[in-house]
Amino acid sequence: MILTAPALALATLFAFVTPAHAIPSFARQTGWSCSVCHTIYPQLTPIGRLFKLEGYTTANLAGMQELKQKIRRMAPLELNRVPPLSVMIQASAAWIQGGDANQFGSGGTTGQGAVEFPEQVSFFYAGRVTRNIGTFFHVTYTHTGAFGMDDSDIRWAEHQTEPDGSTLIYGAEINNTPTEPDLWNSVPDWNWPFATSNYSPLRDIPATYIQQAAGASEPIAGLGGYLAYLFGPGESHWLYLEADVYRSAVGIGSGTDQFFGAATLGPTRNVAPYLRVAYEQNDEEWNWEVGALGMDATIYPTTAAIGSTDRFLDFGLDGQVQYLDLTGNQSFTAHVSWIHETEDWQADPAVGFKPNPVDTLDTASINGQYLVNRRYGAGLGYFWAWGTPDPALYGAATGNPAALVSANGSPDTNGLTLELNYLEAQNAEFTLQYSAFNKYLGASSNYNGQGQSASNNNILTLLMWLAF
Amino acid sequence: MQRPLLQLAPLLLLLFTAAPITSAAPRTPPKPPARVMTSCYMCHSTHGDDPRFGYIPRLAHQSESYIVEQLKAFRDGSRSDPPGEMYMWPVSQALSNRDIDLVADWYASQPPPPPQPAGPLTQAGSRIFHDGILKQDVPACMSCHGPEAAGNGIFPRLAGQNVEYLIEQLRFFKSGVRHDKNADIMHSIAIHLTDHEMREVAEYLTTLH
Ligand code: HEC
Ligand code: HEC
Repeated sequence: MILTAPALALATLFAFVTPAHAIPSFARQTGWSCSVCHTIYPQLTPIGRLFKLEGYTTANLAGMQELKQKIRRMAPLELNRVPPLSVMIQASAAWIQGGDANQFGSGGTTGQGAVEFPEQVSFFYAGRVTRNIGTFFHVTYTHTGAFGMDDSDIRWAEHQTEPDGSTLIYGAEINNTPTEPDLWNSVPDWNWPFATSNYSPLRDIPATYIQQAAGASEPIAGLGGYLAYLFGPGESHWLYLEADVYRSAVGIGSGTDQFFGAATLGPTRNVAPYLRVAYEQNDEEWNWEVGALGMDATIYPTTAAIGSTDRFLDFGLDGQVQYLDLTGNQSFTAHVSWIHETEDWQADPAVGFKPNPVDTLDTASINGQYLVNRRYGAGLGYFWAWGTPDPALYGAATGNPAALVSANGSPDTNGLTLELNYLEAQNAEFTLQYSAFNKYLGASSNYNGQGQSASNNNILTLLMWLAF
Repeated sequence: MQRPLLQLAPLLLLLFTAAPITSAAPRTPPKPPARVMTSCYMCHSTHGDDPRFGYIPRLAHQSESYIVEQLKAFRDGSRSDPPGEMYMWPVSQALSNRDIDLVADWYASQPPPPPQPAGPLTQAGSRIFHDGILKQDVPACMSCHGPEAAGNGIFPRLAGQNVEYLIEQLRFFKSGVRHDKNADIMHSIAIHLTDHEMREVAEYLTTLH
């Protein structure tokens, strides 16, 4: 069951699907331009967070039509005059310092970089369905050659206000990605960089279960509920609690997905609980958040849900600071995040995969984005991954110089990403992105024992994003 | 067929007996109208005392007829300064005249927003507010907005308003991008104010209760 290097490289490429951005159908429903709810996509403002908490149901324009009921006491029916459909297209061109072979294995010998048009095409059905129910339903076509579910949720929300103005918003949702229902961009499904090339080595960095599941990359479905308590002067203090249980969703990929260097994963045993708590405070042009999250996933090592299981226990802390200029002409948002994972490889090693009994993996990132006039933007961030060396997970030399494996079996990786953005319009963005690796899979030079240095993975990417 | 009613009987009884008690109890503040909680609160806050951002105005204790006037001006497009267009045009289109009356009544009857601390420019601002600037043809603001800037009728309350919102509106009046029905009055005043004087007077107004 151990994957060969090219298959492994390919498999991990599929792991991350770029998260979603601003949804034009939301703008059609509210009449607000994207920048009321977003700084740069998909980064939310406090108003955007409230819109999400309220179940995407806020509507201003007369887009809903109430069909007249002739029979009394029958449940009402409101339908959208224009279905809340949106399209998102991404294209990219990427150049890797060490040459294409670095990322594409033996197949990538053109030496001309990777151009993808489209890199992704996404269709959304996003907006209000009833007074209390809204959807963020998202399917994406990627270079895997097929349409698949991308991060989505459907939610029901209601709120209650006390005479002093404090407000309790509560909701129930179904989703397919842990942290997708979240409100801040410091969690895996929404963290920066908001878009990368499908061929970016950034996507191959060892990642925890929660990160691997970003962009609906794990075939799981979650059922959850959330509470947001808004209190204090102007309801500027927010407490957010969310709890979900995830379970393998049959139908997509029949319960399989790849971990970096790990065996093919099977379905979850019973359910995998996820918990989230966060606090936000708003103060005129500033707002900040601190939060914690945790997930406990017990997973069968193969697609057959029999026998013993492996267990991934994730715990994370995150924070976000946001500055929104009074006239809206400048914004700055910074995120920090740290996730610690304990990987308990308890499953019967009969599958031919023998990791350490227990591994730990930590990932962390710090990044910030600045945007002026909603037109020019820049972002800078540093990322880290470190953990127990484990040749079974991070690979021993294979003899293929292009193999994405570590000679010393270490996951340790770090580097920085720098990005420049130009928004031709609020729904048309061009990005030039550069990622440089200081360390890749355990070393700066000759990390795979075949002469590859970390900097061979440095990548320059030009990205285009359109949404309509 | 009778049974549901029978089951309701004790409940009805309870309601009737409870009614005199509740009416005798001290009057609790009424609940905000639904519109406030499905829209306005997201930006202006439920009581209008502490909006989400500095460029969103405080509505608490604002003159009721001014709120009505402004919502209609957003709705018919006559108040068309950029933030008004971006944020309030869509919101106001969803409002019927009755909604407008309800939300205006709600915000006008809220306690005034807490005054903001004084800054280094407060003193100079106070002079402009009380005396105007004679040599620049700027009348005393208090002559229309009231001695405490509490507003009345078409004259908006300015006391305790956000500094940045006040400055921005003065700039909009000056440049003429805010040109709703009564904006001419302010245009003729704002054209005589420098940016610095706008900040001075705004920093004074925000300290008033
Ligand atoms: C998405 C944010 C948002 C929402 C929701 C919103 N407003 Fe506003 N509102 C604003 C902004 C921004 C301004 C400032 C507009 C300007 O500068 O012209 C404003 C201005 C106003 C003004 C003018 C105040 C003055 O002093 O001139 C009134 C009145 C008002 N809003 C009432 C409401 C009511 C009532 C609702 C709910 C039905 C509401 N608003 C919902 C953002 C919002
Ligand atoms: C002649 C009467 C008059 C005088 C004097 C006057 N104002 Fe006004 N002001 C008005 C009226 C009327 C409006 C409402 C305009 C509208 O409806 O567009 C207004 C609106 C404003 C607003 C916008 C408030 C809001 O909530 O949007 C500000 C700010 C303001 N005035 C500041 C001042 C300052 C500062 C001065 C003194 C330098 C001043 N005004 C003097 C009549 C006056």
